[in-house]
Amino acid sequence: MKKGFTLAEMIVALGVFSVAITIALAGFVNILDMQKRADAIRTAYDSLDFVMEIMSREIRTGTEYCISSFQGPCSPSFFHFTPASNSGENTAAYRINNNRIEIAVMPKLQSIQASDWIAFTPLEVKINNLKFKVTGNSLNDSIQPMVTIIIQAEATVKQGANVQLNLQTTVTQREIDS
Amino acid sequence: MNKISKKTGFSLLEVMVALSLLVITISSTMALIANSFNVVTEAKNKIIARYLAQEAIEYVRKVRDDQAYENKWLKNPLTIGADIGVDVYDNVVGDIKPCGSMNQCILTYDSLTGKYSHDNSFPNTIFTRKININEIQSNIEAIVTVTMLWQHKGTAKSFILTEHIFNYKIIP
Repeated sequence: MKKGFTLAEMIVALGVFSVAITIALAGFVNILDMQKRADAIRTAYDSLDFVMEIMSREIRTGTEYCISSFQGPCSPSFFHFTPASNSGENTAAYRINNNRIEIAVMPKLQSIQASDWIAFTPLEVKINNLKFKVTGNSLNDSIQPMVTIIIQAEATVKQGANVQLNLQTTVTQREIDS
Repeated sequence: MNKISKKTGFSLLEVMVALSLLVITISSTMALIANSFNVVTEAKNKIIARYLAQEAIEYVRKVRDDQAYENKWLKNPLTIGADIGVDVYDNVVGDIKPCGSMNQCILTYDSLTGKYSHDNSFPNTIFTRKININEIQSNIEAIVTVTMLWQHKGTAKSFILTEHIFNYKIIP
């Protein structure tokens, strides 16, 4: 005789439905967050990998580590050399500034101006430490120049805690030192 | 009241099937996402391992070049044919030693300076780095193999880098 649902049935059904949908939605929101987090971390790793790759390749193929008198002495977080590009007529330098790695390229016989520096890492990657350890770079010392590069970085991710990425690599000058 | 049984509705079986379908869908999505997260962590380990392996190769090249200045070849100070380790950052001459005296070639990490080494006053990392040098032609050519080993979620992972190096001072 009856057709349709009673109020009680409706309330129970709606209640069950809303509980189920809340749990499911929470799960999906969680999944979305995790996905965004994974994506942000991967992007940060990729850019850091790129920066390390570029620096090690340029230094390896370059010469005259910390030699130029126009740039003054190197410090652990400031390194300059002569890159192979542009027939060795340029000086390139790396440093850490405001938690980012910066690069400067200028003609050999000029000292670096503040406006020469260009940030090299994205804002999402926070560089806590950049260090260059240089050995054998004085000319005619019969020791092949070698640079160890250390980067301590963290990816700043909105969803959850930051993730650390600590890299270390070493390069030796390809050109044989006299 | 016994009309209730004649109402159309879902049987227990239907509900069970529907629910289990839902559970399978959600849980498999979850597993997929968790897996992609694992892949990201694994990518991180691979990046670190690759640079550390390259570092060891570069160090052997440097020793080769240093020796060449004096018209010598690798054999002293490098051990041929055994697993050896090196503290590149500290870079003391003759610092390439068998794994036995190099913290079993397990790398440690100093979070203050950021250096990876075999110095066992710092905590161990998950990485082990072994260098192996084999001469192919005596005093002319050697093959350098760097093996990186680490554990990720209970699975052994490895990364191997090899390079042939030549003695450019001695012409056969």
